[in-house]
Amino acid sequence: MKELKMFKHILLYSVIFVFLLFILTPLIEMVFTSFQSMDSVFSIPHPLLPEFHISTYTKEMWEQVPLLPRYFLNSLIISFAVTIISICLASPAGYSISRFKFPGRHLLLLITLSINMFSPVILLVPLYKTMAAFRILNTYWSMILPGAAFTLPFCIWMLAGYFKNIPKDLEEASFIDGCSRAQTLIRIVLPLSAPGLVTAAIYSFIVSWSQQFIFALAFATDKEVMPITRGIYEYFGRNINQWNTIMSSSVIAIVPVIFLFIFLQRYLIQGLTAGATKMQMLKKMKNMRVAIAQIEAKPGNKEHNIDKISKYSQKASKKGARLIIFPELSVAGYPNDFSRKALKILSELVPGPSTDLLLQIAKKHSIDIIAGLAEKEGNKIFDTSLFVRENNVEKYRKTHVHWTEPFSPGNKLEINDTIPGGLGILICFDASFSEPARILTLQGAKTIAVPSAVPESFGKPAQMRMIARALDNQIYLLYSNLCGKGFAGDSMVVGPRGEIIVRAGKSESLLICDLDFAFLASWRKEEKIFPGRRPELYGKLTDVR
Amino acid sequence: MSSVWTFNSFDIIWVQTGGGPLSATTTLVIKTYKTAFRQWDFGVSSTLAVITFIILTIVSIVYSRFVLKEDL
Repeated sequence: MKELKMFKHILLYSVIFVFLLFILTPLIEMVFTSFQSMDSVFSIPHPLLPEFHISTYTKEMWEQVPLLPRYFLNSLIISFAVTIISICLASPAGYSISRFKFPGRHLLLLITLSINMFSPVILLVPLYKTMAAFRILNTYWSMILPGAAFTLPFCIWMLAGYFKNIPKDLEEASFIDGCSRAQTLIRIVLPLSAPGLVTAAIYSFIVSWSQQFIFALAFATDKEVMPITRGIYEYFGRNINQWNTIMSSSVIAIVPVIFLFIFLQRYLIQGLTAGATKMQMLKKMKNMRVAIAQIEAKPGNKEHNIDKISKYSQKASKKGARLIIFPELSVAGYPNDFSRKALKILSELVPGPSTDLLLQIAKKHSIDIIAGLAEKEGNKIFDTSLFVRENNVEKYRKTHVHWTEPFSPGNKLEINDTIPGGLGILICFDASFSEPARILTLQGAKTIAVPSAVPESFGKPAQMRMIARALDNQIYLLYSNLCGKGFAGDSMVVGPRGEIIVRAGKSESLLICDLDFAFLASWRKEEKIFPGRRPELYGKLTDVR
Repeated sequence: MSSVWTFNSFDIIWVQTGGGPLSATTTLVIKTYKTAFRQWDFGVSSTLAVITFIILTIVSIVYSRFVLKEDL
């Protein structure tokens, strides 16, 4: 067995060796010849160890064809232009083919690719006539445009294949964050396709470098625009073919291609790893870590309550959460005494002292905080939850006030779309109705936070309501309830399928959960609730009182 | 695939023999070029190009039937 393996190896290596010999011999011969004097090029017997005349490179080559540097520059200009054009055009084209389904997609790609089956020579006559009409013969464009046309199909094909491998949910995450298609292509897809783009660019450059010859032969007789592959031709055929300088200029002509290959190959590997880390970064972006603090808030003891809020915010921030949700009236405490007088003492203005403290906490621990207080405005007192970020505060006033509570109702149901997924807030009894949650969702909310003060006696139905809201609207529902004396606890995160992801018990606790918006998007795609709505039948929702 | 490429090969033949000696190494592609840009007869050259095009199309279709079908 071992011998057979050995034999296979030997056979394989000898085949590779013969193949390489076949390919490399002319190249080696080229390098050798380029260092010889004209006398020794044709000397017989051919010397095994050739002479070494550096003068072909330092002197003769440049004397015989003084425009050589110009040719070299021309080649670079043409190849770079071709590369840029074909990458710029192939990226959107490849993206369309990989992402959009339209009839004849495969056929279109096949026809485009079939261009590569034909030699450019076949098209020289029509191209010549077209270029004459546009007066671009003897310009760079006469070589750039056909060059790009012949490298494009393969680039499109290659990039389409590459884009296809980029997970669609990464793009969906970017759509959720409000990026347009074009922005997503530029910011997400292209950076991730760096290795593919580089490969396509190398291909374009090399093909264009060698294909310039044909186009130059047909369209560019002007030495000012001649590429080096055509320029080498100048060494031929005056009185004698100057083989040594032909070879030295050929070496010069292939150096950039080899150099490019070596240089970009390294980049290729870098691109691959960079792509992988970016993938991870994006994965983090489309997930959002949130925290729910289930606490016992002492009625009227704001100092104690805010202290607690600070403590939990710090803890949550340390665990990597970007948002922490405290229960209803977590700053003020849920009052035992709902008399007008007691409430007036408890309530405060927003912005006010508590708002300032919350802002400080948010800044210190760099975390967004949702916490509740009794908000005074004129004669009215609202049951308000503040959405506190490092440098601004937004408020939501409870819209559906429980019949036992003396608060004035708020009149706004709006979402905050500055955080991934769009965030809506409902307070406790608000979540007993299906409409507010639906309205927030229709505005784009993927997450609804429900700070609550659900009493112990109502624990179970409240939980079921939360599950129902999440399931109905295919959202993440963050239920943060008070615990301790008389309150139910049971805070939880419910997922878009109505599944309970984490749940607290009856005592104070901190829940941490990663919201996965890509999962949410895929669930909505699978279970098509929103496309199936019939709003024209729902008029009674607002007509009937 | 490589037979198509070889069929199309132009530069190697052109540089080495220019289609000679006495058209011995002239392929369709070389002939197409020569007719157009040496004899400046675009009409005949186009005819040759069309013939080459047809041949290659047939080869391509056969090729894609056999090979590309698996890829797509």
